[in-house]
Amino acid sequence: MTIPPAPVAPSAVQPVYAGRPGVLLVMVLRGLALMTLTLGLHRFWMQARVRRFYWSSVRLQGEPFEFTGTGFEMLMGFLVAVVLLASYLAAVNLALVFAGFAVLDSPLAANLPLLALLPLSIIASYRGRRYLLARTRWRGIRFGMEPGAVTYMRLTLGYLVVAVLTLGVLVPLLDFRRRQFVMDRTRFGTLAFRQEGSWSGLLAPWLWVIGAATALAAGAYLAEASGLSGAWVIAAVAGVPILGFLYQRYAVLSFRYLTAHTVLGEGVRFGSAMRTGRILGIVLPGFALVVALMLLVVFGLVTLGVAVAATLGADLAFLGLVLAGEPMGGRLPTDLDVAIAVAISALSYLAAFLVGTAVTEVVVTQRVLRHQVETLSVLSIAGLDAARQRPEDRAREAAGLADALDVGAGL
Amino acid sequence: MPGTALDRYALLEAVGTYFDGRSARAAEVVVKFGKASLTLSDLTDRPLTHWALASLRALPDAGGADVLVLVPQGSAEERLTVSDPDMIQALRLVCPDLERRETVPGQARRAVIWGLGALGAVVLILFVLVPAIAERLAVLIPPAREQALGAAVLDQIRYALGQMGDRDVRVCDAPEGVAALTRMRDRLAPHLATHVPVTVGVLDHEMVNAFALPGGHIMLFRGLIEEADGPEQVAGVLAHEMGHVAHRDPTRLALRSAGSVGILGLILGDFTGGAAVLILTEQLIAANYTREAEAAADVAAHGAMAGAGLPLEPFALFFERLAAEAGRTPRILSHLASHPDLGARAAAARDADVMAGAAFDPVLTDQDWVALRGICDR
Repeated sequence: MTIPPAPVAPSAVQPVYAGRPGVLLVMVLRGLALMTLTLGLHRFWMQARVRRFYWSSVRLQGEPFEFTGTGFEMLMGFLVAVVLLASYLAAVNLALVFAGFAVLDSPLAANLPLLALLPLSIIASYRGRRYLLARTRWRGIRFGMEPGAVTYMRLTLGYLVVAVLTLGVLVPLLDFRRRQFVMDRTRFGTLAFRQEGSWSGLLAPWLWVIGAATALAAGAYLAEASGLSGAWVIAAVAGVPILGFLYQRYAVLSFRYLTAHTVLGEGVRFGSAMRTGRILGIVLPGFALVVALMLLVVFGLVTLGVAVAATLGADLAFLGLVLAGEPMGGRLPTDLDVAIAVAISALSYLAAFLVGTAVTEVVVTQRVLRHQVETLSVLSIAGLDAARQRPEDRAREAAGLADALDVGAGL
Repeated sequence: MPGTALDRYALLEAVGTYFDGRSARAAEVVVKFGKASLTLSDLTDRPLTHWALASLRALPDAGGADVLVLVPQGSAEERLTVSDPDMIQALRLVCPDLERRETVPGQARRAVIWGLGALGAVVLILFVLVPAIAERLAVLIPPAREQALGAAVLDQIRYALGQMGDRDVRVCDAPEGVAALTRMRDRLAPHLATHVPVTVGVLDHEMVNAFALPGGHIMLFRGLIEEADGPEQVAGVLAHEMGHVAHRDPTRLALRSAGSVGILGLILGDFTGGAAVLILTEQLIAANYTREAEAAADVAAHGAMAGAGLPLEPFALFFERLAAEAGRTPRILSHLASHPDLGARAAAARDADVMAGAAFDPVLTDQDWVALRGICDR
């Protein structure tokens, strides 16, 4: 079964994406450079700017969205989260050892602390989304989300158990119930969102994923049993692109289904015509371009560096010999040689990282968002006029926990 | 000059969209310049409001340049959207503080204070709270669980030590050697009260080292036995480690490490932290107890040796040898040799020696001593 793209009704309004890629590229490059100089501290301010850029790039009826969060409040939230997380991890690990699970030993025991973080990270994801919505405005009116992180965590864990017990077949049930819980608590001003439909609407594209995985495993098993060695390797190599494609297709089709069954206020409805092929057409060439650019940057800088080294009188020939497996190339490099070699590698690594991250943001992240926005449609949009302002959300942790759990506090 | 620019745009009018911040309803408004202000009127030319030009701010980091969203300072809720290109250009020229970002006073200071506070809190958890809890739990943990914890730590240590080679470090098991070691332990055990029975083993590794684990496991290294001149030196080291067991030092250290592993992982960026576990294993091998804990274990060892009728002179000599060799031997990981106060500890051992050079019943027969030295032979 395929879900046809939602037909755009006569009264449908489609949002427009107006972001200028050049502005985003400069913004991210500058932000990453400052982040490097401030040992990561600038990340929060960069994140705030990039969000303001994206939010303001999306226009519905000509009106841009607005992100009102600040880098400062995100830093504060992050700091509080780090302390909370440190206490939690210390307590959990001590309790586990005391209860007889030796943390340093078996793989299961080693993963128990990670498992103990799961409820926390589900709560964090809910509260993170609540923060983003509370800092989002359109037509001056705030979005928001009702509290309910702990219930959301219990619900998610419950359906997660169900999904695991059914060997993944009931993953759509998990996905639907989570989305429904979140959407039913999402607000635009005084208007409430509502998730309609049923989890069975997601089942068909998911069964393709399950079916393909089962077929691959069964095929490999039978081939192996009939004496064909290496069948598992072939299945794994073939499985990655096949399952990757089918999973992406599930993500797109379920988004379309869920969007088509979302209602806001009195009868404002939505539609999405997002396409799997288009997403892959953005992501795959996008990453190819990123890799090519990174190689080009490294190659260019190393060539330049070697030329500069030659004018300074340094001899980098030892590097080639070291790479060829000959220690020191029979000649001890001077301090200058080593210093220049280290400078070249550090600079080209850094430059490749900056260019790679920034270009990924512009040609992958941004263009996927753009496709998602431009294929969206809003029906009976006049119903939005009824929205009144909602009071400011006083929750101050600014998604710090989600942030800390996503990336750690690593330098 | 703003004045001249204002004159130039005096007749400029454009349609904008105004939102009052109370409802999502859009109001079409006519926007034009007044005296140092921007006036908004409805389509019948009835004035709605006017904003001082100096108070106008544009929303920063706009994705597209074709729309300008204005916010009057002092009112966080109202918005005016202008998309007429001439009007956008005019506003950019005329409004002096359009791009100014309000800095909240004291924000940088608050960021520094909170940052230091968070750092301080993590340091406090790591170095005060976790050790304090470990201290309590070390006494409360049931012996069976403590022994299981010790066994797990031993596996981890054997794995970590074996990484230079290809498999875990072996526990030596030549039967005569094991029997000799048991006799040595039995000679000392009655004179040292431990909450769990002590078990002793030898690791097939050349490091001059010994350590105690939670639950009364004590591991000597082959290198230590080879380095010792006689069984009394090994007995002194064993008595010292039994002192650690009696004071539950290894349990405390293991609990403390377990409590720290997650936080170290958090700092290093991964939560189960393979790297953090390795760092902590190394710490356990090096057995970095406090100076007080080492001194207390020494006192316990002196008592046990005296009780067993054994001299401490060989033990003192062993310390002095290690001190002399510490600079020369590459086998530096030894926690016995890594202490800066080996000379003082040797002196303390001499002071506590009750035998005063008198004859004594050796801790092992010559035959047993040979067997112990061959415990790792296969």
